Amino acid sequence: MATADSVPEGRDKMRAGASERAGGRLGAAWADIAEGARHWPQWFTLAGFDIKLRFRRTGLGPLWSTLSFCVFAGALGLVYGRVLGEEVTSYLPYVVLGLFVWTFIATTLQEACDAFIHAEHVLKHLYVPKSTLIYRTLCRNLILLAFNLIAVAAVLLLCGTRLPPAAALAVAGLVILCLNLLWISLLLALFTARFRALSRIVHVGLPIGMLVTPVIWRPALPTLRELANWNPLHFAIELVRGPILGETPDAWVWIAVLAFTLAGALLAFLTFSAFRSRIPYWL
Amino acid sequence: MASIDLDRVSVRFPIYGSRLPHAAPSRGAVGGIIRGRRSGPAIVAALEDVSIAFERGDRVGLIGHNGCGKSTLLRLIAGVYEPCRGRVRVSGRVLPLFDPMLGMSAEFTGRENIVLRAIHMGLTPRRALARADEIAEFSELGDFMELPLKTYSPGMQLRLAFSIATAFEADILLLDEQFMAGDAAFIDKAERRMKAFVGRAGILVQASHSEPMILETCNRVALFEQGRLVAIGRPDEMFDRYRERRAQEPTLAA
Repeated sequence: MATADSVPEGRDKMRAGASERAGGRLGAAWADIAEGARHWPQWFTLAGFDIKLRFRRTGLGPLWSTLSFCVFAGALGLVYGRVLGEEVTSYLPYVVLGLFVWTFIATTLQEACDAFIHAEHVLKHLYVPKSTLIYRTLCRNLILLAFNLIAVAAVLLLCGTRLPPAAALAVAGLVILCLNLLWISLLLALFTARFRALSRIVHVGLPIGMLVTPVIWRPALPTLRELANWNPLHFAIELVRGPILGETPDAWVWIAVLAFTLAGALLAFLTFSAFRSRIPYWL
Repeated sequence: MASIDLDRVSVRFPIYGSRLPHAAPSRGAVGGIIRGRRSGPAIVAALEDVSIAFERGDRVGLIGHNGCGKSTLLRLIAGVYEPCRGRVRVSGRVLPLFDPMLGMSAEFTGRENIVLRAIHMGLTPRRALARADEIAEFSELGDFMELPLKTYSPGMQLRLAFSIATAFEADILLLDEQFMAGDAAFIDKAERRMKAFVGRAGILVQASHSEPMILETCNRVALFEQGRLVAIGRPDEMFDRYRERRAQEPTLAA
């Protein structure tokens, strides 16, 4: 019976129920996260289909994302460079990189809110590891991030920005950022499934998050610097932007961010294990 | 080895955003029992204290009036819901066929939809593509495979969905409704394929209102009423009991 062309085994032994011990819940949550990761060919392909669907019959396809990012970031950089009296060749890379990371964070978090809700039909018709929907959302936004990278590269070239050797650390920064987005997305998707208002709250909160974070302005004044130092979003952006612009964050920042990531991931994992089995009931 | 074991399982759906005017449990002619509560949402008890076990060779028909818990039981076996109480043990590869078009999208071509549908059956894109030609051939859609699904007639869409769904083996087949479509010539072909497909599966669990269909395919029938398992046994006997019970209830007989 176990031919090559059969439906794969789901959870080998499905054990479930409210009588389950707490250890069982943690195990089931971990199994969901690990099994979801193993399903990468599935969610990677679905993320590709998502993007294909979004840009179908538009000629340029996902390059529209690059183009609209280019126009927005470019215009903002040129205008605010004047307003703030900054040198264009140093300000433009700063703004473009800031918006590059910020757009990624904001769209990922906003779409994460609807990750389970939009998959309601699927989640009510078959067993899928819930984590695959989180991976798919992040993957979709990473693909668009790659397209926006074209615009960033063009701006850095035009402005003659020279990459310092430490610029490679930006990749490490991006990886840490993605890990954080994963656990925050999981929490957002979970709670929005139960409390639909959360998606609206995130929608209102994100623009404010951008205003209070040094995305388009520099924390030059002491009071602004203090504000920025209490803002996790500031570090999220600086971990990627800093190394490229030759302002690699200090070692203590990396350590603090890693500690934050671990604590957040643990919190999300415990919350997920407590409520994972309720998700289909909430939809 | 295919097996299904449900031990004292209950499923209760909280209906968020809905409240009942009273707190007493109410019974309608159809559906599970609704419990209103003074605070919090109404609760629909879809399955109550159900114990049932199926093993290899079982061809099970689930019968009962609308909302008696047939679909919820299928979804429980599929792993969609985890029970609020009790235990569910399933071993073997499960293939739920509830929505034949699950995961498919009108904007994509027939070929792309083979991949989409297969992913929603738990397969990798690579394995779906390896069988794509054969699936296309069975569906007889020809060059339509390269056009978006929205250009298909409903019958053509179901042809494709059926061809994909029956292209991969499973130990446990879960059917929520009749799974046939297309023109007369295709129905013959589809029926033959369906019989062979069901024959290879270790366990079939099927919910249906069609007595001839269940009598033809099933060797056991489980009768449900308002979320409870009333009896399980030989198909003809169970249908007799079902008719008896319906005749006793004036609201249902009318």
